[in-house]
Amino acid sequence: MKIFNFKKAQGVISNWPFWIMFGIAVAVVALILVNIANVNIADVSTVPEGLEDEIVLISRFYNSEDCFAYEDEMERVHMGVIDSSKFEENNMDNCFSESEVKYAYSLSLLIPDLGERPHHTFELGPIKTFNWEKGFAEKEIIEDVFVLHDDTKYQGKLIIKIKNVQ
Amino acid sequence: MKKRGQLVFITIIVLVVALLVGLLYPKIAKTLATGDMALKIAATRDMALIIDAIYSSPYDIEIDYDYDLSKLIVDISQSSVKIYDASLVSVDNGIIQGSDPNFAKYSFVPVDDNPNIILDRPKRILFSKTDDGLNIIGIR
Repeated sequence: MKIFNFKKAQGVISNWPFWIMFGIAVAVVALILVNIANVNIADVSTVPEGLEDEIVLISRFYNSEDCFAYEDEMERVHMGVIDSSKFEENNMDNCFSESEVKYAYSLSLLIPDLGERPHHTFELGPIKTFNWEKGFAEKEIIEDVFVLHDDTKYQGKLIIKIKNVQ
Repeated sequence: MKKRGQLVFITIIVLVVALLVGLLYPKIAKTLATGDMALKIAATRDMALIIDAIYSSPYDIEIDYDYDLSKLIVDISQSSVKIYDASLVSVDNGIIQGSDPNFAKYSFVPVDDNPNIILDRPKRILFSKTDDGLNIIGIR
């Protein structure tokens, strides 16, 4: 069989509807490839699930003196110790300034036993970030913290509700 | 109906194109995945998360972001990190001139602060937090 029969192939080369269709097919394939590659780029640079909302952003609530962490007279900040007198909506506005961040938070502070009335749970909050809207939270995280209340340190729980707002 | 010689010719062309596409695909994917667009997206997210992490720390902290961004311009303002292609925009008296339609952006949440910093083609970026607050320096 003569594969390179150029005389017969000339009919195809001069057949311009074929080349138009061929060009369109190549363009479509190229577009599909570029789109697949772009999806791969987005996947590669995605922030891992839970890293931003559950680790990076929430630690400020109990570690930063500009949020609710206890700061003593020597200006030492006690990480993981929440000053109950700071646990207010006003402080939340400073602690979590307005931005286009994807996550909204609602915080409640539970102190299971204040000593005076055993088994009575004392609750502060909830206090909410600027972007919190009504509705169910998608995640709830409970952090074990210490709470400084009336100059006494208690074991407590910080209940953090998280909502994706985008 | 096409003659046999014509069909063989079409088949050869299609096979050659398929082979070329197959061989070029890894190169295309690598170019896109390691190119400036991917770097822009990844760097904005890195920096926004670094800033969030620094704000969460009560102590002095210093982070050396040793990643060459010398083809890019970094704008940290309005609670977000934006990165532009330096071939499309320039910095003139602290103001970004021009536009990059494919700029990358990612938000962070400041703590009682409003950083406004432009880094022009930095090779390294030093993030630090002291009593004076957040400080970000680009090294060229």
